[in-house]
Amino acid sequence: MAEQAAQPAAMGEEAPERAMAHDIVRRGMIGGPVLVGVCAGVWGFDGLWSSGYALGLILINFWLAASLITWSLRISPTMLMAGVMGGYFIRLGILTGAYFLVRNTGWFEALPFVITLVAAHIVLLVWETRYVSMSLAYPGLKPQGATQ
Amino acid sequence: MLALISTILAQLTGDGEAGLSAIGAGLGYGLAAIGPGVGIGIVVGNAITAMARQPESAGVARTTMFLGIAFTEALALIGFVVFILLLP
Repeated sequence: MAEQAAQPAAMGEEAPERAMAHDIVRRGMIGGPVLVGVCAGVWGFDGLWSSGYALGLILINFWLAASLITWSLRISPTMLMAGVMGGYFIRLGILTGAYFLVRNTGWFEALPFVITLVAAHIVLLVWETRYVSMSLAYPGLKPQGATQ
Repeated sequence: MLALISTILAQLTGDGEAGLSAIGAGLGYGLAAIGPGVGIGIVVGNAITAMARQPESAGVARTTMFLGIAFTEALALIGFVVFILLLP
């Protein structure tokens, strides 16, 4: 039973978390520039680069989280737990490392960076949750062309 | 212990306030990462149980699990933000 659970619900279909991550990244590409533009308006070019950097990190974070889940679920449910918990610490480490990498550079501004980091993460998630809530069927995303 | 560390940092940096601030930032980040870690463990554990009990609903369980993980991780991100803002 556990082995069945480890398999994708439908072979050949994209894993649900990968589909959601693609959707989140696509929405981030569409809505993210608005946030980056606001930061650029307030903090100038430093805000633009810092905000864009944070947005990129958040999108990579989502993609990496989904990829780790898909990869570990192919192996076993036990590996899923290890992959998600290990991935959590790895992703936090990547975020921290990415911050220390640019911390002392001339273009880095902390405030637009942290505002974009939190705002983009939460807004993209809430945006995605709206569509997931609308259709509970697998793969969890609203079907293309559906009105409700 | 904290007083000892802050004294050592103050002697090393020559700035006691900066040392304490660095300790506070590190402690805050570490403590803020514990809660989401526990939360993610609970989310994934329950998702695995759901997938084992009903393999046909694995897709829904995975969708909900991914959202749960991402929402829980937002708390760790807030801890990271506090860390950045506190770091001297």
